[in-house]
Amino acid sequence: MVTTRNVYVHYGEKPIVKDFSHLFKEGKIHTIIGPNGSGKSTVFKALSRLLNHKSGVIEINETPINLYQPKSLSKILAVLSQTNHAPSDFTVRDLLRFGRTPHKRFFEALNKEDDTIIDWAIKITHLEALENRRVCCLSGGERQRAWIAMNLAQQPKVLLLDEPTTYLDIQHQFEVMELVKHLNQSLNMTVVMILHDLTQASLYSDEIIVINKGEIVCTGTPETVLTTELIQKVYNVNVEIGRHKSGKPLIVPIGRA
Amino acid sequence: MQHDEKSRMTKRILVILITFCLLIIALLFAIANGSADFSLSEVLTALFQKPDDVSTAVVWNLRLPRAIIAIFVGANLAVSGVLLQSVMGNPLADPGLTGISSGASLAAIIIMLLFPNVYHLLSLGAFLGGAAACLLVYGLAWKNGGIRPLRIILAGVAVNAMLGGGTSLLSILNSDKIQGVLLWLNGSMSAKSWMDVRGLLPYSVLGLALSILCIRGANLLLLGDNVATNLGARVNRLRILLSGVAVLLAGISVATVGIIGFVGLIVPHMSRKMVGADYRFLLPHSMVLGGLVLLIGDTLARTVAAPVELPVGVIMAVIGGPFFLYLLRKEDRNGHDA
Repeated sequence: MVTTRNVYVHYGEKPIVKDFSHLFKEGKIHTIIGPNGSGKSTVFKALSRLLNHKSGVIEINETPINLYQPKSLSKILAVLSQTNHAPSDFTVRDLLRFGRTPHKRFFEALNKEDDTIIDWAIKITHLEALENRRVCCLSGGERQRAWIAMNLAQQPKVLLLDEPTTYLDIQHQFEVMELVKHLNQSLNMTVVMILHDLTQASLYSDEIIVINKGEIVCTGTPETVLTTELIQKVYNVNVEIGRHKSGKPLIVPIGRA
Repeated sequence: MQHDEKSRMTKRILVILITFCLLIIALLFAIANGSADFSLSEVLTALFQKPDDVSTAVVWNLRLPRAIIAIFVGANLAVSGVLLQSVMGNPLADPGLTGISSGASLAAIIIMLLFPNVYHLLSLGAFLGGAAACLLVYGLAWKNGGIRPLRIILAGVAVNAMLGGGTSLLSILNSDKIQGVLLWLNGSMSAKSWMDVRGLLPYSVLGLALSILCIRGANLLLLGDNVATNLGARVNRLRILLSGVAVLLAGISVATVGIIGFVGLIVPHMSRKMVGADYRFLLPHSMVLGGLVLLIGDTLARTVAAPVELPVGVIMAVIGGPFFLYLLRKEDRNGHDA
C-alpha cells in the first residue's frame, strides 16, 4: 500500500530521517514509536508531502507520491495532525464539509452525494448527537473524533494519525483507539499512527516500527519488538513486561536504565 | 438535527438580506438629503422619469453616482480586508497592510505635487503605485519557495514605513500646495460623476465576482496550512490568488477615491459578529455591509458639517476607531476570541 525505500528527510542541511525503508501493508495497523525528537512526525510529514524527502522513494499504490496531484493524494491519504484548530463558530458538520475538498473542483458546491458521505462519516464516528455543536466546545475526545470524521469524509484508503490519544483521559483514549480498530476492521483501512503509550501500541497494532535518531531500529509484531532490552536501549528506561490475556505485552516503566 | 443546520443557514441568509434592504434604504436616504432635501416621491420620480428639472440634476447627476461609488468602494474594501484576513490568518489584517495604500499615496502625491501636468493620470498612477508597493511586500515576504503570513506582515510594516516617510517628506517640502493632497489622502468622494462610476464599476464587479470564487479557498486557510495541504490545497498558490483579488479590489478603490482606512478592518469584524466566520456567509455579508457602512459614512461626511464637506476617510477613522475599540472590549467581556 505505502512503500518507502531509503528515504532521507532533511531540515535545511540536517538529516532528520535516515534511510527509512518500510512496507506499510494494506488493511493493517502500523504504529511508529520512538523517543521525542526521533523523527516520527517528520516521517509523517514526508508521507503526506508537507515536507519533500531529499532522496529515496515513497510510493502509494506503486506510484511515487511526488507524481500525485495534491488532490488525488488527499483522496487516498488522510492525516490527523497533532494539533488542530477550527474557527470558533464552526460546527462538527461544518468541519466535515472540508473533508470533501479533495473531491471537488475549486468552486464546485457540495451536493446530495457529499451530504450522504458526511452523514456516513458522522454515523461511523458516533457523532450524530453532536453534529450541530461547535467543534471548539466539544470535549477533547469528541473533538478528536470530529477531526477523524473529517478525515473519513475524504474517503481515504490510508489514515495517518499523529498522536491521536495525547492529552486525552483514559476513557477518551480508549474510545479513540477502539474507533481506529473499528475503522480498520470494518473498512479495511490501512492505519499508520504515532503513539507514545507503548501498551496502547502493543494492544492495537499489527506491526510496530521503532525509530531512534531518525533510523529504524527494528520492526515486527508487538510480541517480538517490545522487549525489555529494546526499550532499555531506545528509551533508557527499565520496564517490567506483563501479558494481556491476548498475549500482547503490557509495559510498565520501573526505573532509569 | 438537520433542522438546526437549516435554521442556522436561514438565519444567516436572512441577516444578509436585511443588510441589503438597509443598504437600499440608506441609498434612497442618501440621494434625497443634502444641500437640498427631496421627498421620497420626488426622488423616485427623478430616478425613473427624469423630469427636466433641478431634482433630476441633483439626484441623478450629483448624488446617485456619488452614492454608487461609495457603495462599491465600501464593498471592495470590506471584501479586500476579509480576504486578506484569511490569507494572513489574522483578524487584524487590512488592505493597507499589503502596502497598497502607502504605495498609491506616494504615487498620487508625486503626480499632484511634482507632475501636475499629468494630473489626468492620477487614478492610473495611484493604482500602479499601490500595485508596485504590493509586489515589493510580497517579493520581500517570499522565501524558500513560499510566503509565510508573518513575513508578509513584517515586510508590509517596513514598506509602509518607508513609503509613508516619502509621502511625509514630499508634503513638508511642498507645504504651500498641500490642500488638494490632504483631501485625497483622507479619501473623498466629492464631485464624483458618472464618468468615475464607469471607471470603477467594471473592475469592481469583476473583482467582487472573483472574490465569490475564493470562498472555499478562504475557508480552507482558516484550518491552518498543514490541514489545508492535507486536504489537497496548494497553500502558496491559494494565498497569492486571494491576495491578487484583494489587491485588485483595494487598488481600484484607492485609485478612485483616495485612502479610506478602517472599512477593510471593521466591516469584516462586524460581519463575523452577525453571520459567523464561515466565508460562505461572511464574504457576501461583508460585501453588502461594506457598501452600507461607507454610504452612511459619506452621507454623514456631506451633511454633518454642511456646507463644509468632510473627507469620508476622516469620518470613518473618527467613528470607526472608537467603534472598533468597543467591539474589542465586548469580545473580552464575552470571553471568546475573534
